[in-house]
Amino acid sequence: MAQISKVWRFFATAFCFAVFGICGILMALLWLPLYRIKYRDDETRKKACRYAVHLTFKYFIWLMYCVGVTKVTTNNIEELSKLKGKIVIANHPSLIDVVVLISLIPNANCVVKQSLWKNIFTRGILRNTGYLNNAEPQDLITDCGDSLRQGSNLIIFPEGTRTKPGSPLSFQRGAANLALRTGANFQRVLIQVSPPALTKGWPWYRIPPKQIHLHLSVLEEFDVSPYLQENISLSVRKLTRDIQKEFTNDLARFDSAH
Amino acid sequence: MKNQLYQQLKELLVNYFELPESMITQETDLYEELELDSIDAIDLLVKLRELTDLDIEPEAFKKIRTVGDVVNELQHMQGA
Repeated sequence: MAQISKVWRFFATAFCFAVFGICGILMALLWLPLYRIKYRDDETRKKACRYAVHLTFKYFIWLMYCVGVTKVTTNNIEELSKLKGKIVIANHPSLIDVVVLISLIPNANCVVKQSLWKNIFTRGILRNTGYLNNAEPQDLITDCGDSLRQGSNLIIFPEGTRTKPGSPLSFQRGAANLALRTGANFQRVLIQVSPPALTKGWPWYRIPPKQIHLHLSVLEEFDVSPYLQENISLSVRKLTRDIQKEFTNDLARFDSAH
Repeated sequence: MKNQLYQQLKELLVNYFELPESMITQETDLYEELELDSIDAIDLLVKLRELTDLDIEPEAFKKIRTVGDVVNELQHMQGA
């Protein structure tokens, strides 16, 4: 029985990945270009495109649930639908974290790594949405600030890349730099994936023994204003240490509770 | 002159970037060993501009890897 489930989920996973890629291309070719006719204003158009991605990801998460690949459960997500101008920070255990987050946040913006701007399945969408590119650090902070002021919520994984399984969390300073240089507060989100799957270095075809369960808890907002002091380099380091400590404690607390 | 620049840079790294003085030598790599990131590099550049009154270009800073490289670049600029 377990074997049948695994074979089924192998094909279902392959199917989902194929759907993701094909939809990426179709959206960029057939759907998002229509917004160029509908919306004259560039920012309004990009916002509409981001909303289209939000809806598509919602359906994608639903599809993955229907075919038995993943199951998503949540805590407190009402907070996310009314969120405005916040930096959403989350730990990053799996490949699908950002898909789940965007599916729950109607106006989400994110910083996307260079390789995806070149990827044939994703680049068409990225060029339409106004998602940010991490190539130039100085422009990036200005762009993030603009986006936050327009009311978007910026999704950032402070680890910078997926968590190395079995290793403690290790935050880079980008998230703290963004918060202290734009003045936006953090909205903290905790993500737990069990059994571990689609982690760093985990190929999609290695199918876990059972359906992947992703649990997302929305935690309280984190006020960064006490850190806004004279010496920003030191404040950034302190803030990074503090949020890393909070996430580490919360993960330990949640893990022992479940 | 060179020694003075080195001392100033060392003080900057200790005071603004929380780095232990014992870690810093001329050969220390700013990114690999001191773990500065790209934003730190820009901040360091701004601090150095204030400190030395030199108009340091970000372009010149891109090739720099070690503490010694920074000192050499500054000295080169002061001489020019």
